[in-house]
Amino acid sequence: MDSQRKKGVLDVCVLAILTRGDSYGYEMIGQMANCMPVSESTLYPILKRLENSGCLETYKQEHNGRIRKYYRIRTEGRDKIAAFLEEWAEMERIYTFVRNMSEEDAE
Amino acid sequence: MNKQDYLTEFFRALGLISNAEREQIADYYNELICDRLEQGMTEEEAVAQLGDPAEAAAMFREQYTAEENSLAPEQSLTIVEEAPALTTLDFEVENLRIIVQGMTDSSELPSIQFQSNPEFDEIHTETRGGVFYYRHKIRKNVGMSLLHFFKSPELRDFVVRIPASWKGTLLLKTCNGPISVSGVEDMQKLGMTTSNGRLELRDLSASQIEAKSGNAQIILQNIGTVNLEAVTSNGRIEASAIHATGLFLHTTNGSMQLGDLQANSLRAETSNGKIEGANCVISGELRLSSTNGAVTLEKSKAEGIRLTSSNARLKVDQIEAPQIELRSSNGGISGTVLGAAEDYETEARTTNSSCNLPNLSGTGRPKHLSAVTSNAKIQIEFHPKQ
Repeated sequence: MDSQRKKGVLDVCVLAILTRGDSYGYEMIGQMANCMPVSESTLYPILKRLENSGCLETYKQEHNGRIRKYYRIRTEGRDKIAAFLEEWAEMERIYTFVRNMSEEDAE
Repeated sequence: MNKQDYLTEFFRALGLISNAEREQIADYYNELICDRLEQGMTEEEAVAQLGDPAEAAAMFREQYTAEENSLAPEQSLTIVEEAPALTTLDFEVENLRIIVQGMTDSSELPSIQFQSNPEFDEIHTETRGGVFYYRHKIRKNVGMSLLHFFKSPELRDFVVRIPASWKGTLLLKTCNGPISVSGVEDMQKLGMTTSNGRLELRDLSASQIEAKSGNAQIILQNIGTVNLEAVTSNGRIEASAIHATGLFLHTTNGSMQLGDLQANSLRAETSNGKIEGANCVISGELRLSSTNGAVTLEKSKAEGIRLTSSNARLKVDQIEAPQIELRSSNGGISGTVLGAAEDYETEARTTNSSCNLPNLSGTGRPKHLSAVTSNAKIQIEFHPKQ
């Protein structure tokens, strides 16, 4: 996948995970594994980017006597998911068009 | 590999980042490792899952470069590497004023403060073989550089903070900006080059000092060193309160003012400026020469004193040396020498003017004074030492 597009898709996947509830680093890596596996060093910049653009916010909470950082989706993040899904409908039309045209061409 | 080793290697590979960012990344990895330990893994296993630290650092670095605005370090950067492991810090910047400050808190790591602007600053850093390289350039984009030219003529500061006791080599290079260094106590080598800015070195100590400026002044004050070389083409050199073994000062079109210098040898040269020296104690040779400027030396002592000027006068006051050589072509030679006239075998010659010294040879006297000029007067008096 084109690296620019992959970046956008990863952002949306992370945000999608957060729509099910606040989460933390290790948990998110586990959930991403089902869709697009990411390493720790890939996830960090994504989270940072999403935080800087206001899509998510963070807070710290005690867990087993230590501090864990949690991530929570913000309205801007939900808007981003909506925009992605909307864009996808358009992508689907383009995909169908490209597939049909190239299949006809092959015949 | 344990957690600490992993993070140390990771940060070493990452290079330059802000202190705040460093803390956040360390927290992030700590948390990931703790979560894995809770799952029943050992620390070794947890760390192994994080992958190669150098590769992880490369991923981070890639993101930093790709998103200069959101992720790039902004103001204060720590050179992330235990200071003792670094032998050299090598900075090259463009159109910035470099300020180096020695910090008395020795637990501090070397750091940089610089408000960079991703629109026109291009920065590359690298640590290789104990050397930290920092390269800064102004982007070569015509539109931008014009805008830059009109919008921000002011010079921006590039501040390097170093523990005063740091023992490495510091190399500094800028163009169109001045450099000032102070407060470092034990540096191996200090090298600085600028094309159009003044150099100022105060209150510091370093084994080797090389200061080069293209078109501006060099100021040296309260310095301890083995060898010091200061070279400028169109600026004045001021040197005072310096302890050194070898001192070499050179300018082409500037004057020199020298005071309270102690060294084994002192050599100061200029073509078109005057040289004024005072209170110099040199155990070897003290040599001042100018082509078109007057040379004066007072209250100074050396094994050998040699003053030359082609087209201007030489003046001495209470100087003391067993070997004195005063040479001018068209300037007068005058002043006082401390000591007894009978101790000196004097050699004195001028044309078209008067000379008060005898021209002696083969006297076997222990000291030697020679004064030679033409078209001007020679007038040297001996004063007894007090």
